[in-house]
Amino acid sequence: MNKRGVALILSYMVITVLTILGSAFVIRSASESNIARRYVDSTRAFWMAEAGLAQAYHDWVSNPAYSGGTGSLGGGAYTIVKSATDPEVSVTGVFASGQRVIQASFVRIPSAFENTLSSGGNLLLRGLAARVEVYDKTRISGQYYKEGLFASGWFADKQEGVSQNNTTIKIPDYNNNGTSDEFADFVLFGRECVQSYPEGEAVYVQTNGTVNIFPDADLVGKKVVFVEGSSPGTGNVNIWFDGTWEEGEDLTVISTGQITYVEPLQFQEDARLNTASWGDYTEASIFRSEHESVVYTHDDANFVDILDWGSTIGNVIANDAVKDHPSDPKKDGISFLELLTYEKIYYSDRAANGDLPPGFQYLSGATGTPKLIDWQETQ
Amino acid sequence: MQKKIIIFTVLVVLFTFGIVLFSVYQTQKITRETEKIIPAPIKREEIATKRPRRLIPSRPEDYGMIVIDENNKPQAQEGWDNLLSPKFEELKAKAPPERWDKIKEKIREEPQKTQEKLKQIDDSIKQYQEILRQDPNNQEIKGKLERLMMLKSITKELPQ
Repeated sequence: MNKRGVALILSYMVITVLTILGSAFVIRSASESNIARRYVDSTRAFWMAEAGLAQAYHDWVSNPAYSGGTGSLGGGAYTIVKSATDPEVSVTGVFASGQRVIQASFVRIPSAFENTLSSGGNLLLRGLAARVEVYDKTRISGQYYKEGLFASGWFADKQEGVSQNNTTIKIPDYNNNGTSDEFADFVLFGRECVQSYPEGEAVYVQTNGTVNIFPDADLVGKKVVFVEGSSPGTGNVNIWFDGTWEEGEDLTVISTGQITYVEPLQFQEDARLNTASWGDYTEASIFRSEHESVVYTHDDANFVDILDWGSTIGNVIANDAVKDHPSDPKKDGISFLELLTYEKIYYSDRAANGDLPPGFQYLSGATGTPKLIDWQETQ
Repeated sequence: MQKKIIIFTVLVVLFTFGIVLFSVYQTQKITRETEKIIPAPIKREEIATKRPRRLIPSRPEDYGMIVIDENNKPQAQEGWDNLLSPKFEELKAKAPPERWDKIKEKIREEPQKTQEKLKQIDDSIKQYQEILRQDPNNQEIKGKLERLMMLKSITKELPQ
């Protein structure tokens, strides 16, 4: 048998196998190197976008008219685009072959949310044996009055004569007639709140009567209840005990009239019931009551007939836009009246940190400090 | 013989080339799959910018609300009791017992204090009613009287 050529065949086979292995290793190695480089570029681009977002926030806080810009850092670059109307910021980070885009939503937090009590008018403590304790900041555009034989007030940090920019929230000009803070604007604000939430999360009631709201299983999961009357002072609301039923609820009741919170016993400790009214806000209770609320009233906030120890955690903001007590002007603003025992108001930084009550983002309008509420990567 | 060797060599080269192409294809496939994983866009829940929906008024009774006509508001304690009593009964039936127990506990803790408060409310109601007899249009007193009657209605539903 002729065995010449076997060595050639074997050498071909060895060369073939070595070629395959060699080329596979080279290609694999080059590919992995490429992947690693792209990964590094992509990650660096993401951090560029994050840096740009931080820069945008910084510039926006110091310059309310901020509209965006560009910047570079460590070999990368970012481009910030801020929308003119909506508080949205888009930041594109670029590093070598990597590009990442972050879309961020901001909400403006009026400085009144940094206070426990904010009165656009006065602060009155009037009662036989009234005792009020207010923790953190109390800011009053008018004056503080204390009347009553045994009345006493304790304030951790109280300032009088403060600018209304820091004690009130003006309703944005929703009807675009050039004037903000009108009743028509408030109505449109309420409607905006209802329309912005899905049908299952908002209740819209049209009536000139008084609506009594109770803690009801059918209100579970609701975010906004808007009671709209046809004119200022109509569409009043009485909230009994608390409108919240389950843990973690966050409900805002909006009224074109007055809101009275009757016996605010909070059944769920981590729930928050908030109010926004064109007319007065009034709180009354017989028994010891505790609740978490953000209270906004375009007019006055009154704590009356508090016959026991009561506490509110949150923010109370009374614009006192209408001087409706000409015979007793001390009552314009926030009043603690006919109080026999303690009322304690504690501060909550939830709203100031961007966790505004449902619908309040439409109240805060275009004033205040921007706060990041959400972001997502779009590319 | 030389012809056979040439053919065999060509076949081996083609086979090797095929293997190399296959390796390149596989490597690129792996690369593409890996790239899919690397950027991992972080998606957050969408908020705020939801499409506005049509504004259709709700039926307040569907949410357990009671609407009182301003012209037909109860003027006496009995009227408030009759209006609110069925609602309180309904709430008590629906709510877990521990929720109402919270209120009961507060009364049981200091029954004497509770009685004093009720007496206070009664005295104030009488006082305000007297003022209203002399000045029927006093809106401030009307509001105070209304609130006290509302508060008193709550106490009637509680165990004595």
